[in-house]
Amino acid sequence: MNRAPFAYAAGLCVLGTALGRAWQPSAQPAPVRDAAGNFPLRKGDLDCLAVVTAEREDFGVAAPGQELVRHVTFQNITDQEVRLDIVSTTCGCLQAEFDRKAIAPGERATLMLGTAAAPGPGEQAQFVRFSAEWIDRDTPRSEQGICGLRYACATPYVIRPEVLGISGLVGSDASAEVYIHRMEDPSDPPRLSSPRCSLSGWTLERADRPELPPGVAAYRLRGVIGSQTTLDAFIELDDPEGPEGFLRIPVRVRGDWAYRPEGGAPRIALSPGGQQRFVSVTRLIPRVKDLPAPATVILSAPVAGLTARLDGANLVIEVDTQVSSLLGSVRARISAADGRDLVDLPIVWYSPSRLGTR
Amino acid sequence: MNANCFWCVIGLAVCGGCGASGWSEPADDAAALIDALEAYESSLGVVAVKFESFTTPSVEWKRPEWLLLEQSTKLSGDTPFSFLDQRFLAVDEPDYVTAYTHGMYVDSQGLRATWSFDANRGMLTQHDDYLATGVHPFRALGQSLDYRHLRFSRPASMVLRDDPSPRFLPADEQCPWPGVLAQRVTDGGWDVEARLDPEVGFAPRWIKVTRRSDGLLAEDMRVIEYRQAGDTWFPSICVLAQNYAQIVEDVDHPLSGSRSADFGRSASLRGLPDELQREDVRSAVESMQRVRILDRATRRVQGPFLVFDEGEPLFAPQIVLVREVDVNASVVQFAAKIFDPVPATAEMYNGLTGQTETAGKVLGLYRSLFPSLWPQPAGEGGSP
Repeated sequence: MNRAPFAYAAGLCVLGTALGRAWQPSAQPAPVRDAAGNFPLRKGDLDCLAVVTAEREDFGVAAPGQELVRHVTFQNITDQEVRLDIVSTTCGCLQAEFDRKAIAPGERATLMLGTAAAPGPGEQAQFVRFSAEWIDRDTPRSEQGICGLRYACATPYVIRPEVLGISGLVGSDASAEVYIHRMEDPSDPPRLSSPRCSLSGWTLERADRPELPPGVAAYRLRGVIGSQTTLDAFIELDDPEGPEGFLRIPVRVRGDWAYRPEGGAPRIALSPGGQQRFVSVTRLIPRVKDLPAPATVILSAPVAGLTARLDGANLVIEVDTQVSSLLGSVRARISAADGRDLVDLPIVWYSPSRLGTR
Repeated sequence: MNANCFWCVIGLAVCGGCGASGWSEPADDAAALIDALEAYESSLGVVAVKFESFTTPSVEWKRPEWLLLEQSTKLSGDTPFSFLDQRFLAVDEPDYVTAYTHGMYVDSQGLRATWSFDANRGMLTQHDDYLATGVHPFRALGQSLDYRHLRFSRPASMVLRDDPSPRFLPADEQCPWPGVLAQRVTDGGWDVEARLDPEVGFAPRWIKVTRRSDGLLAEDMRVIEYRQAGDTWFPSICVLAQNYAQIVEDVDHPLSGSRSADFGRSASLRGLPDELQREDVRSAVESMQRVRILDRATRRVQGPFLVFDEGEPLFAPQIVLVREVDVNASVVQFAAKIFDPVPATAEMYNGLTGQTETAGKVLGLYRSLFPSLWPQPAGEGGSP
């Protein structure tokens, strides 16, 4: 993340002096912050756009990982169409996008700036530079503008890990631990309380261990891996000393199915040559011992010309030339006799000709 | 790895034009192709791979030819556990400074135990983004596309599905592989184009990541050759490039003379082993070392990382050569002996507590956190 001040202008939104085809330095003086710390627009800044509404630039103190999104809406004040484009951003982590690339006279476009707050010392600032181009009496003209956002995201703690990743078999118990101690004085325990988790049914509780020094606060996150392949969530603690009053740590949970297809899920080539029927057999391999056997297979949608069945631990797919398309896919959900889902996988069929010229 | 069965399919001579122009196919085709990619991904269980990586010549940095940068063993896949044994072989080079010349990194659920064989000490900390974004074959498979969560990146098929309306890109005369273009993915600011090869089970052949804000081709990852590994395919040769954008004085002549010399030396392939002395490797390298004008008006150009910065070494592209691969590795067996080389009495910094302790104590704590990997932790014994 770029924490350096932007090269020559920063703030609410600043548009450079209108120029001809080539960009040239503006003759205007550098903008000056107002009492609120923003860079106000001045009448002379704009030739083609007016700022209609602008959400606040300074987000103040943000929690680590907090989503920061800012919208600025412009109006075309020329009598010609104005084309808008993003020229650059100071950081790849800054998302910047206009909701429309061309605006007719009098119409509006909104610029969205978004980022996730990252811990770091002092104020952090990110900016986007954008261009606005139009034709003024047969003369191409253009301006560049700058919009930004600022925040501070300091934390007095060392958090390990800063992002929790948990994975396991779908339906299995899972846990992970996080350790928090003060950066300056590791012997002084953090005064954190009310541990909680955004995942329904999961718990976050103290996990003190005798081998840990008293200045370390350990927490254990526990739950059952759901059926979602990947789920993003967070854990949170009340933090009376922190700027936001709480501490938030991102969590990503990944569920793996109990069985995996040997050699991968079926990809069935409908080869030319007069063949009418294509059969694919995929062996399903359990990831751990003592799993129930596959008993049923259900497709996510009926497909004309395609059938799926189980032969022991083998998934057998038959496709004939009546299949509904030359390139397609459907999902198969395989379950145990007790209804427990064991694996969900795609079945793909294709005619090489459908994939394009080779 | 089965050396008798290998593919030598691509080269820029036939694929210089892979790109997202000309698409007009319905989304169902794209969805099917993404499913095919998921099917390929499901063929890889836990993968243990031994590989070498090579970095480009950089004349000003006294690197007159390609240099063997690293020899590593990496274990990764559908497990929370990953492992890297990494030997940096370019540590005496003037532009390469690394903390560990021979290090070991053991990751599980966001926590990492490291060990330096040189310094005879290690650390318990969290894992970083480097091992996701470093030079290794998993990147060429699209396993590091999830920019907001690089440490726990989702597979490429899931990232592509972030676009509700991905575009199907048919194979054509310019590009021999069908593909998918997904827009506004990873953290929303990027487009990802993945070209998949049906002849190797729809494994990725070419992945391009483009920044939406300015059209920068930020990542360009190509698999030059796949080899059969068990019942599936795994890359044996990859070329990976990261680009950046820079404002330059003269957009038509943005490169210094020494950079042009670097490009020439890169194309010569001197310093690379025999397995990489191939026209398709040369072709990929040459195409990745081209510079492109992003915006003439603002004098912004795109090129390989650091290429416009005088006095900085050239790093892109880099080439990965896979020597051995096992696509059905056993994590438990791997983990069982993993800390054997670590003396229990050696020093280890415990990032969880902020204290330096013995390796035996720190690794005992680490193992106790993951009972499925280490069911009977050896207590104080760092070397069970």
